Amino acid sequence: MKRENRSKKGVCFFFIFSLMAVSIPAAFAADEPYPNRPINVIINMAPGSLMDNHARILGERLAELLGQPFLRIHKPGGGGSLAASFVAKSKPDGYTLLTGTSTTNILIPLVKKVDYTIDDLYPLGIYARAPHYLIVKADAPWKTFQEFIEDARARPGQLKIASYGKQTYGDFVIEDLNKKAGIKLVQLPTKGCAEAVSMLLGGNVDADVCTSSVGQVEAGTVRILALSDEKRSELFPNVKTFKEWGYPVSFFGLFSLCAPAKTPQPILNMLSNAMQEVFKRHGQQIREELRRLENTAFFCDPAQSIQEFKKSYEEAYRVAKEMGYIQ
Amino acid sequence: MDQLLHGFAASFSLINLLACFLGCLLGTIVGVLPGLGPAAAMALTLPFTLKYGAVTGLIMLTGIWYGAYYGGSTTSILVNIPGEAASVVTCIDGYQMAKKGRAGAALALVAVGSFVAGTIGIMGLQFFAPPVGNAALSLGPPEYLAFMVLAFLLLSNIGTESPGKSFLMIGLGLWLSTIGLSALDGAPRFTFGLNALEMGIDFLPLAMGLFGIAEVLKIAIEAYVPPVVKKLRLKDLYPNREEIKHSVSPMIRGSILGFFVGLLPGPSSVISTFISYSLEKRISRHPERFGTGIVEGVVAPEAANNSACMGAMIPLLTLGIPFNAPAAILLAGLRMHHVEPGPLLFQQAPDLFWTFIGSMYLGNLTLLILNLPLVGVFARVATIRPKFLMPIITILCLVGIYGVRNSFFDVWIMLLSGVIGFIILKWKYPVAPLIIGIILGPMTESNLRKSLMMFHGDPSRIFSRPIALVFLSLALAFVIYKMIRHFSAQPSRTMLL
Repeated sequence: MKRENRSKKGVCFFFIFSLMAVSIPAAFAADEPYPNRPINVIINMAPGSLMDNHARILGERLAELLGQPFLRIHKPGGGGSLAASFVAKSKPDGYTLLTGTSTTNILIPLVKKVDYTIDDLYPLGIYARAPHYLIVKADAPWKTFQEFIEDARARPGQLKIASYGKQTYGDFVIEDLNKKAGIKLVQLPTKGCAEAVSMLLGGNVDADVCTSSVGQVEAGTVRILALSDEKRSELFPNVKTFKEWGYPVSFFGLFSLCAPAKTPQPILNMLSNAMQEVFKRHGQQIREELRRLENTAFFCDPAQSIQEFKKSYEEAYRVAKEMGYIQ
Repeated sequence: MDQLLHGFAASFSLINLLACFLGCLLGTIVGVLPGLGPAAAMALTLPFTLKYGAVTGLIMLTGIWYGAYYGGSTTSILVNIPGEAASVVTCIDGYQMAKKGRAGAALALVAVGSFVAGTIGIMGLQFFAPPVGNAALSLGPPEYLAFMVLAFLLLSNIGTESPGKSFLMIGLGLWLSTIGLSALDGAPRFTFGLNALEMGIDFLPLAMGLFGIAEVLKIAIEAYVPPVVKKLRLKDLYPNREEIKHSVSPMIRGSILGFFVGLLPGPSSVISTFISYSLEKRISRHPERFGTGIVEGVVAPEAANNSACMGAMIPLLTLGIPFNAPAAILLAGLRMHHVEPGPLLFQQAPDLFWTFIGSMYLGNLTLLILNLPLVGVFARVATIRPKFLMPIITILCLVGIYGVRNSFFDVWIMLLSGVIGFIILKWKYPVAPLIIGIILGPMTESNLRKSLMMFHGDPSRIFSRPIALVFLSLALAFVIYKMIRHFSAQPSRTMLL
């Protein structure tokens, strides 16, 4: 009996001791200037995904500069809204950041019921962009985008086009193009670009709107007819934009690192300055690494980033309204 | 052949051998731990492989992938908890074998079966990759839909003797699978305005709860009867002649079936295990013994998931299209190494391909050598008293399932489905059909809707697709066969649908 008591005491003591051991460094650290502990980057996709790679490319260099590790934490789901909502509601102390895409920051708060808005996330800096490509099989009858549109106009409701899901930018590109070109493409939403491309190659659809397809383009199995962005892509400089073809459809991905909007200004400045510094020091290397992931480097400071987001938001708002996604 | 020998030689470099061994070891561990699956482990390893060459990275990452299917069955057999998704069906007969004291035999045969299947799978990959890859492309939504119809019919016999109960559970699974945003139009269904429900109910926490936590609860609630402690003899660890004899053909059938099912997009390795289990039960001379712990029900699905993994590599390597999560991570890894998988891979980087093939033969051998001695260790786990074993298992499950998506919601789902699973178990309803409903439901729905869109709303046009027509004819033939057997049989025989 006595021995049991003693061992219980021992366990209690050990428990209290370990609590202290955990809390003491934190207490001391509180006085030191930001950042004095690791910074969590919440990633809106699964491990190994595009955003995970982005976070690694940026995180390693930011960690080197700020002297604290950037830990990658994955909260996939809800098209990225779970991660975004988590960061928007987290303690605004600069230790919880988000890999924000235009889907998480702009599209989802617009078309879905979520507990955050575009204003709850402050962009520390946009670092990359990615266009949407309209691709067809290499042996498709249309040589140019114009021929494709004319054929679609002649056969309304006949041509099938795969997107990577309803209420995604792929959906917006197709529906906006339908409207601006006065055509009627039948949209087949798929789970992602991989499925969309396999449906195209298998001849189950006539075209795809996708964010990635470099492998297939290089192998010569598909062709890009046009792309959706404000300017041409570095990866395919010969491909004209929708705008150049006369149909100003312009939805593209913007990739940024974001913090909760209520984070103190000095911390926001410190982080965004660190990003600019990283762009300056490693810009070429980052550009190369992003290119391998089929994205184009696009370095912006917070002011430019907010401007870019605003532009994208207005465009998405207009189409969402036209399509009846919002009242 | 010359190229393969060259590939073997290249994979024998020290760094590649080390990568192969580490990958296989890590894969086995990931497979054994409940919850954590190959995709997550591959993603965590990916950055470390970047320092080495593309070949080395590829060898290590794939080692984790197929290694996980070796280890996945371990906890299924020992404690009724699937180590990863593709070992759910192994629980049915594997755990019963362990209860009969044949855990060692089951584990050893699974290791051998995985080796055989892996090797058959690699041979398929080696000889038929490009034509099979192109053939996989010609399957579109209508073909998948027809295949799903056939699969539903075939799978209706898993885990029960009562078709009524089985269909009820499939229906429940189908309903659960509709929770969340619908795949095609993003409309919320059964979410009750909760954000957490929008992404739907993941299949893994559900399966771990229904099988594993339910078993833990059952053991906790039922009075503990100490088993007759018998000394574990070496002879008990390894399969007897009878068991070996019964596992040879299921092994081969599982391997071949798994390889082709692996070509389907989505959770193909999981589906392959269910189909091969169901097939074994249908062609068996004693179907009533399935579920009581027979070796055919363990070896066939475990062989299938290994060769399905090899099958799934074909669309990735030949087309550059990842059909499931581990393949997507492999694709990302290759891209980071400046290797673009796709039709050009064989022309641009034949060395990479052949070294890779060579390494997989070695990897499978490594896994066999690694796993057979472990059988003894794991078989002893089954003899640990539940009051020590069950808390450890529960903690592993909790940590493992949280780690998959960093989501507490999944933890709750697992615990809740544990309670539900316990009740289902008490009422003697089968759990496996529910899992089938959850897996096949969304695939059937989205392929049906996509097919209808492709056919402009005219379902009869599915008959104009030859491959879909073959699947549908098979399904019809199956139903007719069952009806004839039912009506010509003795009145006393119950219908075994």
